[in-house]
Amino acid sequence: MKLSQINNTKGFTLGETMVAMGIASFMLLAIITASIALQKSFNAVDNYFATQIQQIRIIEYLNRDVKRSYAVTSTASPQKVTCTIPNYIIQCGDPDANATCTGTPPMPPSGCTPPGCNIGTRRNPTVKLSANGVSVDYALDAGGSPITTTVDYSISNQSIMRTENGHLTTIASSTDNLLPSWLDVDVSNTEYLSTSITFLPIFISGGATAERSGTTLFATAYLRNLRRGN
Amino acid sequence: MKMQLERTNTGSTILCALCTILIISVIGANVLLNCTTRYNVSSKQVKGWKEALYAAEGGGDIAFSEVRKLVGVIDPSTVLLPDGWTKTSGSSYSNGPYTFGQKLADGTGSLSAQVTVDQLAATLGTPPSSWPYFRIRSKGTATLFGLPRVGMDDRMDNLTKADSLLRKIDFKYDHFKAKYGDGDGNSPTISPVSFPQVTRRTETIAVPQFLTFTAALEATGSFYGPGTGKGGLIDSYDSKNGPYTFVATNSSSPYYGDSRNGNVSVATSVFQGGGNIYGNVTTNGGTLNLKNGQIYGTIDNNVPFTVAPVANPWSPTASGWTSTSPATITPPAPPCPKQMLPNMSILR
Repeated sequence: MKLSQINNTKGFTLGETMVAMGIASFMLLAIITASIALQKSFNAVDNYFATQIQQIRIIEYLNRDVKRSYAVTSTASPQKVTCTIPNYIIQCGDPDANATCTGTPPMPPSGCTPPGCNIGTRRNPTVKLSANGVSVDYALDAGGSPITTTVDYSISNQSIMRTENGHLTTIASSTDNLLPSWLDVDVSNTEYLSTSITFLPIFISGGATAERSGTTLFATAYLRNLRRGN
Repeated sequence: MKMQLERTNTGSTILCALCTILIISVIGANVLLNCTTRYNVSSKQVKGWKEALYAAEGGGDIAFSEVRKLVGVIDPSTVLLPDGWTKTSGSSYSNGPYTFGQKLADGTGSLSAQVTVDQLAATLGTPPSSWPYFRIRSKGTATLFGLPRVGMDDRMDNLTKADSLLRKIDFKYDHFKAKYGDGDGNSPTISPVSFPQVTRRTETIAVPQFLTFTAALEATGSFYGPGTGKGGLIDSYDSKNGPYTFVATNSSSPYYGDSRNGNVSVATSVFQGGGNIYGNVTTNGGTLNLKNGQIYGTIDNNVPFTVAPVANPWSPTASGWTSTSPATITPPAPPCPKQMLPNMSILR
């Protein structure tokens, strides 16, 4: 048997190779650049949507609490909103709770279920005539003063925190400099809280101030439980 | 036999092209997935959560309009039962579900409200000694359109899911019935839902209002304002704050808010203003004729009203109630409540 190798004499000239390599490099560069740009664009869009959803969440948390508040106060420095909310539900430690809670946070004993145990149930309000007309209170202490729940909204580093009776919850966290602005306005017969929240997108074309301004989300919530006079 | 080793010139063009398409497709798919999920949360789920509150408030408003008919009514069932309400237990009545909103395949609406009215008694002092007030509990339900999936920005840390903590969505089971039963923890049950839904609850306390007058000044005839050219004015103050001081132009005063309720209501069309009025003005088809002053409030020229007969003061007077001790004094009947006032809150 005779093995013979057929020499293929076909090939590329140096010029052809150089042109091919040039075109290939250009195409590769274009593909890499497009991929990077696409990835950056994706990150920017992803970040924008994620932060916008956090904006909406902050507004909705705040509006719910403000609407059911007796009173709201806001401070500019440090930025903080404090809502005073009626105690609709009988909780551990309330004077009308019929079970003793233990632990931190206080928890009712096991087997504490209605109707025998009233923790976690809704309470009837107390309606009485006061100097300002008829007042509605949900929970009263032994001295007849209303017991309320305090909800604070504050900023800690890059996070927006909600604290309800000492229990801390992070409701938004962003590295995009989410900036809330709160103002509670006391008018003659009611009160409302105006809120605006901005953030700085990753892609900026018209200047940081203009871009931040373009992301503003506004909201106004009136206090429904604030009633003055009869 | 002759074997031939063949050399080929073909490269990996197809492979390169496929890899490029794969990379771009993965990025594109990520973009689409993220956009879809976030669109689903920011439009559908937020919309559903808001609409559930609108539904609950709508139910509360329907009930409140019924409760307004109960001013001075001894037995609410005489009003509520003919209007289609059902007596559930004791002095509780329910109605609904009222359905409205976007029409679903089964013919119902995407929104519904179920309402309960409870009559409760309050001791409001003397007068009156006791009048009923009403608690309106409304449950609003919104059908959740869109994809039945949670969002991708929910988790804040290892423990906190911020969106789920706020917007509780029933994808398969009614979470409220499972945890709270009837709302007071009685008989919690696992209850499947027909469609993914969001429910929200409101509570409105309707209490009677006893004041006969609802403005600082009410005129059943013509009104000629005080102090034309003399600097007279109408404002208000709260006597709990001590002696009267004029603060209606001093917005930094803590009593400023109390000073702007000098409202004037005129039941006719004749209104001639004098000095400044620090409050709202209403007339019945009138044209405001202001001489010198200004009105620092709203103006409504389409408010007719009548003044109810005013009972004598309830407290004993020296001429009518002189007696020797011991004696029983029976003062005249207290005034009836005039209307109901709402006090609405969002429970959950």
